Amino acid sequence: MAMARARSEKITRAIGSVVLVLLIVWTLAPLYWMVTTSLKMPDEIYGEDIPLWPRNPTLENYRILFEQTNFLMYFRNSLIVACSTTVLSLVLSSLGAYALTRLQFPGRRLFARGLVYTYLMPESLLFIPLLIIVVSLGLQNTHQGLVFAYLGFTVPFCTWLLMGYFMSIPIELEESAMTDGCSRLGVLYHIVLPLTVPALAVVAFFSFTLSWNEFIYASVLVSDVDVRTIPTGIPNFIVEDVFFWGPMMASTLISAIPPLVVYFFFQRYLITGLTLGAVKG
Amino acid sequence: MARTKITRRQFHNMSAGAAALGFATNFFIPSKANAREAQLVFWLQPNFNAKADDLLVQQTMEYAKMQGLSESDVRIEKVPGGEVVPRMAAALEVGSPPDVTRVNEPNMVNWGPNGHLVDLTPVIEEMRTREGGINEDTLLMARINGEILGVPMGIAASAAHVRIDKFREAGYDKLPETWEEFIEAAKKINQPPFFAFGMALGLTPSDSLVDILSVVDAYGGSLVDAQNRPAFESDGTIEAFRLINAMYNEHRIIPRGAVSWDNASNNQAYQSGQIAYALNPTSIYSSLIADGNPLLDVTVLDIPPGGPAGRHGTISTDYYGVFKKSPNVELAMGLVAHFMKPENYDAFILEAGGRYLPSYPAQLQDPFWSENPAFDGLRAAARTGRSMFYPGNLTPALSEVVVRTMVQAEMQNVLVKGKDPAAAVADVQKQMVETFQRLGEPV
Amino acid sequence: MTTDNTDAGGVAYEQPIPLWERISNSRRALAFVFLLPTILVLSVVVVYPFFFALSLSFQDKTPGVPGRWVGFANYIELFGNSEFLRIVYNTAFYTVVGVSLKFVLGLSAALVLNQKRRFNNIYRTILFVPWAIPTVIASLTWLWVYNEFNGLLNVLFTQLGLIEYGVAWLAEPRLAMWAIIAVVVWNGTPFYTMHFLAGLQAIPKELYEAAEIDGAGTVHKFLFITVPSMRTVFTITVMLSTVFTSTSIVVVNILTNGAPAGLTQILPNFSFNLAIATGRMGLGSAVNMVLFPFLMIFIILLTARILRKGGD
Repeated sequence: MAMARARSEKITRAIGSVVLVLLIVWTLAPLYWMVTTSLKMPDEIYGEDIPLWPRNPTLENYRILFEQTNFLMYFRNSLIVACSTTVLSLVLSSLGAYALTRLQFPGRRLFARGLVYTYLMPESLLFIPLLIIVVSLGLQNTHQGLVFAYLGFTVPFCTWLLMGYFMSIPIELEESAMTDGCSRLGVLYHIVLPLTVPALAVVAFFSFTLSWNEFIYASVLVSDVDVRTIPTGIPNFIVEDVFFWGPMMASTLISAIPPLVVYFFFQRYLITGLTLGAVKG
Repeated sequence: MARTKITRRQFHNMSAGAAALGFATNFFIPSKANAREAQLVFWLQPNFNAKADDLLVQQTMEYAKMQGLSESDVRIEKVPGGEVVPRMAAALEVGSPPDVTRVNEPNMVNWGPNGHLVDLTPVIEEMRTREGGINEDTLLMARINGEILGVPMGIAASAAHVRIDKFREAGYDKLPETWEEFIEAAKKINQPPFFAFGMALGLTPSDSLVDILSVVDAYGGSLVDAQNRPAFESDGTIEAFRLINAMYNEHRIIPRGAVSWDNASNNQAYQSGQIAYALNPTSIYSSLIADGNPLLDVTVLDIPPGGPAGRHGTISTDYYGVFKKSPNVELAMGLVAHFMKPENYDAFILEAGGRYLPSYPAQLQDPFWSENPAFDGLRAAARTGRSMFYPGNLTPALSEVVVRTMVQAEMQNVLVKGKDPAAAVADVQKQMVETFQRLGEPV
Repeated sequence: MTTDNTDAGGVAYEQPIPLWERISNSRRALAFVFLLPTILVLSVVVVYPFFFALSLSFQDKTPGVPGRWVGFANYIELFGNSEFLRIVYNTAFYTVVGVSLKFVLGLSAALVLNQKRRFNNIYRTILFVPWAIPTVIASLTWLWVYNEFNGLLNVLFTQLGLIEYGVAWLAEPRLAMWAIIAVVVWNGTPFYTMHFLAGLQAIPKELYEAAEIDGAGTVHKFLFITVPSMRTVFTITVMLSTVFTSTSIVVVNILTNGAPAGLTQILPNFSFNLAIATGRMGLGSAVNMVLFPFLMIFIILLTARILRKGGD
């Protein structure tokens, strides 16, 4: 029997490996194109004979990016906005998710659903009234204004995500802590959150990525070059009907690095496990 | 790999660190206050030529200094074309549009009649004092309710970009003059993946409408009549639709992908040497020069083929406009006047390298125009050029027809769904009439 | 804790309870306090714009000009529009297929990444990459990949001899929508992968061990342990993704803008083109509202179970 199990495990792993390879190829193919284009001179991008690999690789596109555009400034701004949004999303959604799952109050279900309803209106329509509000709050052209707008987008989703996760934590843990005199807030911070680290990781990834890549609000709410974020720099590479593919791909690759760094270093938190040992012990 | 466990202490440290980071970034980095501190706001819409853009920036700062403004009083925002419409919609709603920006014909029709733009007749008067005056035709679109709401910054002509080497191989020493001859030549040139006719047929307003109308026009059709009433349904138009259908489905001289092309696609197709003909503003030509593309040597510019009703190029005018909501209208008007001063304007036109033909006819004497043989074709296209809306004018209703790509949508029904050309043309007419009626314009 | 609660005369009195303790003891008050920041942010940033857009749908409005109330005229115009129903159908097709594919691929990826492997952290990062790329750029890149003349797909297929010359992936009536869906799936699958991976972590190992002792095989474990435990995660992910997918304009806008012949036109793009490009904000908003009832019912149904289970 153990043999059969070992064999079935091997088959599963083998299938898994095949699937993994396919997924990786599928994922990387367009990226391959992006990378090679960013390293090509214009004649290899637009000419009659497009090579699959740059014959004369060049860093010219990267040079243009750093010297001729405000890329570094955009980078700094994106970093500021993304970090703030991430931290605030974590705080607001933890508090909210806890309230919605552990505290009974009238309107709980309506509020929870209402959070999702906020997504029914696309940003492609909301950006106008949002600008009106941001301007009247005096937050136009500020980092805070953008963070505020992004929170409107991240918090409902992150709250729901954490709700789902909190519900799988046995209530006994908290109850025993509270009988020991711990406050609700303390329970949240000391007991619930450490056990939901994978979900917190997803919240962080999502908030960071969203604020890093968001475009419509960024272009409408902020026009000052000192405050602009990376995605708004991209359209500069499309002038009327001319695309400057080389620098555009270079800019994309560089700007994809921070989210990837975040993923790479924090993805181990994504796989922390929950063991029932904590309850039974 | 063992699953990582997070200890409580680690968790506390992480969250403390995260909180610190979050607050730090917010407090240490100063943020800018409300937008409207600047006295002069200019939305510079990039031309596809960086040097021309830089020149405009320079001229703006020059003007600012002349007016005693400091650098921080002036805000020049580079707003790419695709961003203008949503940002302007938002800006108008908030009540803070820029002071000055480029206004193309559809923009003029949207912003003009709604009372957003300032009367610029004084600037025009000054321009008229130059020897040779100004090209009065350019004012056509800007005259609204007796006022002139835009200063013509240049005439954009669409020119046929032609791979003369391919045509010569087929036995033609220049672009055929009629569509029927063109099709004959095209059949010889066509050799997939190389296509003869890079006709834009996508649902993005601009290139595709120009392409379709250049055939429609050759057969006597038009969007509106001289009284600005919908006049699309005509024998000429139906004939044109039939011809385009034949080109796409029967002779197959147009790339299949053309129906989902955006405005940049015909540029890219031409530059990659995949098509022998593209009708486009001179952005293609400029790109060939800028990229050092060998196809430059075998490219000529010309008037598109014609037909029984004649042979015409397509032109449109771009304007500078000043917004009424500007806190300092005089200052803004002064900037426009400054741009249009002959020495400043001439420099800009030359840097723009053919992207615009000058509003001052006198400027055409400059050797720049006669030195480059390619520009002969461009000038011919401009000379015979007519607005897309000839014999009528662009109106709000017609602008909606254009932006909603009604013509292209029905064309695609013919090409992709096999709809009868006559029925398709009739449907365009119907939709046009509905729109005109809704907006209270005569039908 | 000993406190003398009697005064000099021996009458018991109440110690005034500090505010925070009072709040902590009342679930309602505490819930309010916890949710306050969220309520503040959302009411300003979402609720007001929401109602602004809703009221827009009953007006005839162009940017910068005060609107004019027209009641249901916009909605009537919509339902009289022959294209409209087809656009609704396209949107439904696009959403359902997109979400399903993302689900399958995301779950496969999560299961695979959950297996023990040496360079898992690298594999995970790689599979997250499409998500790190803004959708605008992903669309532009795929535009190039699909290019009829020198796009990656056509160059590859012609070199492999599969086709003679380039296929117009975005223009062939039967291929166009699938091409669009492929981009949406490419860009959005990591969202699912990430959640499912986190969700798989919440399943206690002991459950699997117990099942194995009872002789359960891989498939059995998957169907009877994994799937039921993941139900909440599945539901939440699918619900949110459906909403996000069905309201995003970027991919269609960049790749085809509805071509060929409206076969790839979906509701959010139709709405945006009307509201912003054409400047008919009222009609554009009305288009958007049409989706609402369906999505709201969808959300209510999906969350019914979860919300009942939640709390104590």
